[in-house]
Amino acid sequence: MRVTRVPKFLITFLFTSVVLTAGWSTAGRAQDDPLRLEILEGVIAALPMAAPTFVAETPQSQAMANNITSVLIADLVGSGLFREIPRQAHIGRITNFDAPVQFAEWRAINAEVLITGSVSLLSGSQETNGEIVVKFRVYDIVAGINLGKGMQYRARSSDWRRVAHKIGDQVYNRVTGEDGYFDSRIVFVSEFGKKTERTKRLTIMDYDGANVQYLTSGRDIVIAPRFSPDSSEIIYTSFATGKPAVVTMNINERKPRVLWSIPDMTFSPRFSPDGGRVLISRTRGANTDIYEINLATRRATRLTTNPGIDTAPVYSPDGERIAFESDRGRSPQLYVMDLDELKPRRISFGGGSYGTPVWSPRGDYIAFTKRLDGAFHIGVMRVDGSGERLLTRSFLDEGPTWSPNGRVLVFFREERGEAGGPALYSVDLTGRNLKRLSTPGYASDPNWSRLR
Amino acid sequence: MKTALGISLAGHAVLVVLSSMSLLPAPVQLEADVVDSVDVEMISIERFVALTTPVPEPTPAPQEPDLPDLQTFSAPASNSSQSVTNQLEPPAVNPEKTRPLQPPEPLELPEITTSIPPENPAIPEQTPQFTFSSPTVPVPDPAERHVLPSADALQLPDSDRVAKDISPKPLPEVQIADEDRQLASPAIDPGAEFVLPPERETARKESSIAVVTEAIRAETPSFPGEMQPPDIKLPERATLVAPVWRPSSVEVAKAEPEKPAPDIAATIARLEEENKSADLVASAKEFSPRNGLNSSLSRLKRTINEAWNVGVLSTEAEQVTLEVQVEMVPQGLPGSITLLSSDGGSPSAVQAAFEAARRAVLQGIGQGHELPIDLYDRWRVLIITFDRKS
Repeated sequence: MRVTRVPKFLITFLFTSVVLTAGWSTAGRAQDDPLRLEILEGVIAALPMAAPTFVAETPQSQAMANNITSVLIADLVGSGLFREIPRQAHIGRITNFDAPVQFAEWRAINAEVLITGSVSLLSGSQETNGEIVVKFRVYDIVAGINLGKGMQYRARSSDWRRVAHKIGDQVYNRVTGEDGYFDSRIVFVSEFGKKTERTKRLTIMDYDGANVQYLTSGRDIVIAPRFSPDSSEIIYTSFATGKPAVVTMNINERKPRVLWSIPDMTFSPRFSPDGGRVLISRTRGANTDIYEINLATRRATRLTTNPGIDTAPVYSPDGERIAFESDRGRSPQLYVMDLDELKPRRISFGGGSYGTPVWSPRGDYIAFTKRLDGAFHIGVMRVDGSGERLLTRSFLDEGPTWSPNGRVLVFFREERGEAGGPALYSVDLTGRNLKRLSTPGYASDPNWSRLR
Repeated sequence: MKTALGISLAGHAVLVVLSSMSLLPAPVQLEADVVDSVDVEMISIERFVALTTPVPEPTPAPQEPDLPDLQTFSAPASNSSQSVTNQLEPPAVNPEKTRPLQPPEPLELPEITTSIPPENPAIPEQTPQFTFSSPTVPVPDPAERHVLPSADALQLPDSDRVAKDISPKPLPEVQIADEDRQLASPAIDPGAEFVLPPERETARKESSIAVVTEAIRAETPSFPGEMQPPDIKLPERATLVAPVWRPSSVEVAKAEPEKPAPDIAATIARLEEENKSADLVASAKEFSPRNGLNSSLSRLKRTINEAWNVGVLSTEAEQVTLEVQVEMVPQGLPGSITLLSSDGGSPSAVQAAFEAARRAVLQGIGQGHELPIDLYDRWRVLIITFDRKS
């Protein structure tokens, strides 16, 4: 058999040609493709914002324009996401709300967001609670465009703070992509007097501490108030009868009513997201279980049957699951349970003990109180128990509640010692921007309403 | 045997009959299977006390608490307008007479643009009915191109505030160190033959971008001396964004693109001809145009990253992955920025994420970035992926 030998130089030539051709074509494709960059980190910084005083379009509205602008700035700066550029640094002047904005003047002071507005008093005066109209626009100075459309609010003079909060919510939404939380309220327990003989009054205020109103006289001990979903009712635990009983109260009528006329202790109430049901804890003998009361049918259904203490129940945002605290595993831990299966599943496995779970409005996190090594923490974890993060640490931190947008947590912190008293604090979901809220006295057991 | 069987059969028959007639007690179940329901009655506190008080003596039941008059507290001081605020506080009103607040309702104003002349009334006299819905934030269309003004248009308009002369070259960046060190201006000695490279000024790091929560800080052991936990103070924006502006970029733009760095190519050729060591050849190749592009792109990437402020984004918007196309002009400026695609998040979250990315591009390279002009075709279009999830 004769084999034809291929010259070696021919093999080398063919091989080289193939390799070169492949390399050329690859290089050609690479040359044609646009360059790609990956930005994977970013920075975390407050957004520099300019908010010149709103233009007073009527002579009587100058003071209100000042106030609305001040509350708006306080909202945005207080969120920790914005940083105000002082007015002394402003180059541009907004004297006419409808005049075009000179972006270069605001770029020169490194402003990235500009808020302009105007206030006019349509009828009457502030003393007669006349009608006001407040307009505003938001600008992305870097891109030189409007952020959303201009808007205007029409309201009574007495509601000027709400108008400012609503504008703040709009700015917050347009910059961050999520709803704000400024036009909301917090119900809590005001405490006065010595630590051993505290007077406790159910109290409601705006989220920023303004417009404080007392709902109860302080003669009876009240704890753990919670808003109904539409914020028209408060449900709480009252000791007016000598032992804890769940009581509801319409905020406008202010007539407290016992939810369940049984001699057992009932406490830790919480409305369902649709407002049609209520979760409570009921103690019979040494056993505490969780019940669900259907407000339409007036039927109470027992949800847990464990001989231990099951308490602090809370609904998921869709109302189909609950989270609660139970000591069935010896130490208090967090459990999640589907309401159609009623099979609790433990989700907390870190060291220490856990309590007071609160489901995030977005449904992605559960906030909790954790006690570990003699200190208390406010923390968050995902619904399956993963990703636990502790945000605070102190002698006593307890009772977290979520802002309407799920970005901020308010809780109460008690100082050590006889003279110490509880106070409300807020902290960002990331653990930043910890600050104390303004309250008339000591304050505990906060609960944050939805946006109004 | 038959007797026992008969007794058994009879007994079972009796059980079956009784069971069918429901005369037997219900089987006892484990408590874990019990889900009982009971009726609930809502009553007043007085009635509840009367029902639950075991003492037969007629003790006065606690009265329903006399609710205090609605107390309205003046708002906390809001900046410098405390006195004005107090004047504006409404008088205390009786709770029964308190009407629920009528929420203010937004009205949409026509979108304003800088092209509208001042005399153009932007807000109609006849306002439509109030609606509480937020204005719809337009979802960025991937095909929509956000065309930015050209490089000329980005310049400040003529005004008295704009200096006539070109700004001097910015001072060299300081080096981050543990202490501030400011160097004295070196004295110039005309007779000196060798000029040593000047020692760099140093400065302390201004702030930290690390997230240090109170819990973490508390758990961090404190050390004496200089090893203190990091401060959680938010950094100043100005300290994070260092505008990259190099006058030399203009000169590069004027260079002939057909002659890419002839000196460097000649150097490489000469070195190769002279059979120098491989190290020398490699060191010269580092300055080739392509390597220059890579280093420029690295700087560009770092600059954009430092301008990408994710701190203002919602957690949802922060998780959105964006692919943004940037068309560059030869001066190293972004000509247009287009959202190509996004992954995850609601429309409003995508919108916010894109706006943050656009700000990052404009702030990072909005004042020009030095890129080799001879390779302009290569970097004319950049596709930038913004991805925090990775």
